[in-house]
Amino acid sequence: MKDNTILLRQVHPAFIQGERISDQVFSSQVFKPTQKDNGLLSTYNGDEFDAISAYEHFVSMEIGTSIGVVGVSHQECKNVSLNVIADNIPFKGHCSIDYTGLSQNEVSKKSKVLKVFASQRGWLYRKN
Amino acid sequence: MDTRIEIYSPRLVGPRFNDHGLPLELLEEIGALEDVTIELAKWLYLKNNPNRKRIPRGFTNGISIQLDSIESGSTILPISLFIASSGLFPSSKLEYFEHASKHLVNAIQAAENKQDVTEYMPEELLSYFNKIGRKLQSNESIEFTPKNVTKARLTKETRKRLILASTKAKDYLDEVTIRGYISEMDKAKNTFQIQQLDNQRITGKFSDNFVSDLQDAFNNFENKQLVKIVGTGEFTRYDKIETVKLIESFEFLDEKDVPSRLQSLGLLKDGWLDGEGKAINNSFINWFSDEFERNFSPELPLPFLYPTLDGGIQAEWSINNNELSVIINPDQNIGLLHNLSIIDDEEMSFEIFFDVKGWEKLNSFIAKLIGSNEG
Repeated sequence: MKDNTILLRQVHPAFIQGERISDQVFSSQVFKPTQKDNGLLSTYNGDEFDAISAYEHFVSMEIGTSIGVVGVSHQECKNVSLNVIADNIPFKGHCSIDYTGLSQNEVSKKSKVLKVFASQRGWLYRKN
Repeated sequence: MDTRIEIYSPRLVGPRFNDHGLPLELLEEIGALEDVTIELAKWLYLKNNPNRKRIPRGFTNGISIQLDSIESGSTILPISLFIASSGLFPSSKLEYFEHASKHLVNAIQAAENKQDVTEYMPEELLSYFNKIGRKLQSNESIEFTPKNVTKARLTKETRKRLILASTKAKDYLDEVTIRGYISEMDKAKNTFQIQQLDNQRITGKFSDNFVSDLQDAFNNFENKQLVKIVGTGEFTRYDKIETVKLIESFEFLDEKDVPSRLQSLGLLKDGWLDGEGKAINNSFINWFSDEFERNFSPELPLPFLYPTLDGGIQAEWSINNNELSVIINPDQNIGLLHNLSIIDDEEMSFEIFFDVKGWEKLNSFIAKLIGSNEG
C-alpha cells in the first residue's frame, strides 16, 4: 500500500441528505466505526478495487446497503494518526482503518477530518 | 328591552392562550357554537312537543349568541344568548336555548367520560363538531365548565369521539399539515395530489388563490421542490388522512427543512444500518421538531440531520472550516456539541440542554462561527 492509495468506503443511504445528487452531503458517521466493527472501520483497498468494482462487490456479496463510494488516502489517515491495516479479511482487498483504543471524542474528531478529505475528493461512485 | 343570558363560559387551555389573546381563527368556531345551539334548541322543542311536526314560525327571531367582552387577564370566554326586544319573546321558548347549551356541555362531558353522547345530542347534530374545536392543537383544550370538578373538556380526542359517535359518520375533519411534493394538478377540476415523504399520495382540492404556487411546485416536482400545506383534512376513524378538503396556507420549504427531514428519519426501522441501529422514536422526533422550529434562529443555516445508532439524531454543519456536530440523545433530550476547527485543529465540546438558555447558547455559537470569517 502506498501513501496515495485510496481507501474506498461504502456510504449507507441513511447517511446522506439531499434530493439532488449534486447537492448530497454525507455524515461524518460514514467514517465512524460501529460497535460491530470493534474499532476497525472496513474499507476497500484502492490498489485492488476501483470504486465501481468495490460497490459491486459489496452489493453482490450482500455485505450491506450502499448508495455509493467515497474515499480517503492512506496518507490522509496517517495525517490524523490512524493506522491502516491491509488485513485482507474477510476478502482479498479488505483494509481496516484502526480506531481501537481511542476515546469517543477522538473518534468523533478523526471521523470528521476524514469526512472533510473525502468530501473534497467527491463521490467516487454514486448509484443512480 | 334586550336581554343577555350567559350560556357558555368556556376556558381556553394551552400555551397558545397563555398571553390571554384570542386567536382570530377560533372566532369561526364560536359561530359554529351558535349554529349548533340553535339547532339543539329546535330539537329539544320538537322532542318536548311530539305532536308538532315543525318548529313554530319565528322561533329564532331576535335570538343570537354573542361573545361578550373578555376580562383583561382572563382566558374565559363569556358567551351569551342575546335576545332583542325580549319582552316579546316567550320565556318558555327561552328555556329551550338555555337547555340546549346544557345538553351540549353534557355531550362533551360524556365524550370525555367515553359514555354515550347521543343521550344528550341527536346523531345528526354531532357533525357540527367538525367545525367546533377543529383548530385545537394536541396540547390544547376548551373547558366548558372550568369552575366545576368535571370540566367538560373539548380536546382533539373528545371532539373526534363526538363526531364519530354518529352511526352515519365514517370520517371526521381536522387540521392537517402535510409536507411533500406536488405530483399532480388538475386545473379543470381544481384538484391536486401531494406525494408525502413516505411516498403515500394524498389528493386535495384547491381554490384559485393557490393556483400559482401549486403550479410552481408541480413544475418543480422533478427538482424535488418540497412544500408544506396546512388545511382541513378528512380523516378516517383510524386517523388516516384521506383527502385535503381545503388549503389554508401553502409554503415552499428549504430542501433542508428540519421537520421534513425528521419525518423521513422517522420512517427508519430497527436494524436500519444493515442490522444495527435503533429506530427513532416518534415522540422524540415530534419533540425535537417543535423545539427546533420554535427556537433555532431563522438567520442561521439549517443543519444536515442524520440518525445515530442508538435512536438519536446527529445535526451537522460545515461552517468556515469548522465541522460542528450536535448529537441529541433520545433518552435525556440533551445534546452534545462538538466543534472541530479544521485549520488549527482546535476542539470544543459541551452539553446543550434544550431549554431557552440552551438554544440561545447554540444559536450564538453558530453565529460566532459564521462571523469568524468576517473579522
